[in-house]
Amino acid sequence: MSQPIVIVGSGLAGYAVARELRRLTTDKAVVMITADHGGFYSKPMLSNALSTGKTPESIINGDAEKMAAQLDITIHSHTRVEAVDTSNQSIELSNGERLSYSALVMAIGADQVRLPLQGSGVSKILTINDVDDYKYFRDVLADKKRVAIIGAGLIGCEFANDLSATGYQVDVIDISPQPLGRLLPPEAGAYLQKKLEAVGVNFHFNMTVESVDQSDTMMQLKLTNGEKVDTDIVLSSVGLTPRINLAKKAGLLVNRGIVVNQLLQTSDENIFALGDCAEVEGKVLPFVMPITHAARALAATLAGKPTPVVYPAMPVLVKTPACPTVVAPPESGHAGEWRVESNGEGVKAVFQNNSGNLLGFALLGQATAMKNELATKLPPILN
Amino acid sequence: MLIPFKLTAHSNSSAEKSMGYVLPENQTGQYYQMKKYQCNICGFIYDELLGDPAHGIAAGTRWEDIPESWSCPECGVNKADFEMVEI
Repeated sequence: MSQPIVIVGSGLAGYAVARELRRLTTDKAVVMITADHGGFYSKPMLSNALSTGKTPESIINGDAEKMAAQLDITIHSHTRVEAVDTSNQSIELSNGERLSYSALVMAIGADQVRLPLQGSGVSKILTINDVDDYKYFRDVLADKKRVAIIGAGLIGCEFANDLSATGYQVDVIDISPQPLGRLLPPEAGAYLQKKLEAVGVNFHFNMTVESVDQSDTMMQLKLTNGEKVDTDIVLSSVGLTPRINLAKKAGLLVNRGIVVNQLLQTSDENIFALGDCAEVEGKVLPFVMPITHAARALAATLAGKPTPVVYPAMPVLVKTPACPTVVAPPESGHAGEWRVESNGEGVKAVFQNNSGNLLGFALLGQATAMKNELATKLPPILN
Repeated sequence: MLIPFKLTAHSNSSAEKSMGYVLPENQTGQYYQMKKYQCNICGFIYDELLGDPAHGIAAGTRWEDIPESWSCPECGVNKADFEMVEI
């Protein structure tokens, strides 16, 4: 009897592979190993759950039992993979069991980066990386009024908008001079800043946090300019770092992420990786759409038809209702410049090379209506 | 029972449209309440009232009339990965 396909991780990537695989074949055994409860939910929904009236419980679409039945797979919840024995094609689990695999899929995601900070409140700094983190955050938030967010990237801006729109006092601190510093040219950043400020978000730019202290009644952040921010909860959202340790320990090639080729195959031919943990042909893309494309290709490969993943242009929707925003950042290292048009209703920023080819864009406010038209002119990310 | 309809510019007041109701084509007086469907994966909401014109789905297209080949404009998943949400 052939060994099962083993998927490590029950996030969007893990479930997407299981779902796509079941569309193609029902006769392959699939086992999912997950460190958490194993329920299926949409992680992007966490950052606007307050505004949309969702609770951590209502975000979970199906628990492990329901998902296992629905997809005809076996799920081991609250179980970690401790080690991978590539020569014997087996894994060692935290419960002491060993499991053989015909193919192993690493869909283990990324960790939130934690800044090295000083102060008595550092251990109280929260990060939100999964629904359990989010549940804890909502429990803590229940009797509080103020939240300080370190990092004005995608996640920081989305949570800032969601909290501010639902009545919390929100401070956001970032080292860069604007929100979404890596994605938006300055004029677009200024527009987003203005719109978020209009719903009450209080930004502190060009600033880092020196210390986070905790007293009986509140938390206090000291910024590099000496400014003090009083708050109740500190949320850190300064970026993601792919989880590479398991792959590294197994002797697989890793770089920023787990290195895979266009077949999503690691340096071991029976082990694959996708999602936030993977570096596909040099690209680490921690977004939903790449997962959808990767899962389809990988499912076909696992079903017996080797299929390289192809990424079209994949604009990212920023869930900041105070300022609808879509970004398709140009690949780093590409020469070109931003051209920005703006009026009171929005900003259209396009990044072109000197031949006039569109390489990226950022659309804010009413300009988001041009998303589809512009997206068709972008080069594919991987083909 | 839901009955088929065709959304035309003149058939409904803007107030009716904004409430998510459109008159059926045969004008029998029975209303079809427009529904919204949310993507299970990324949270994108398909609103029957708005359609997805940029991808060939006209405003007013009912969920069941969208071809299976259509996919979520935000994350690319199939129609099967959506679910209906209450308005």
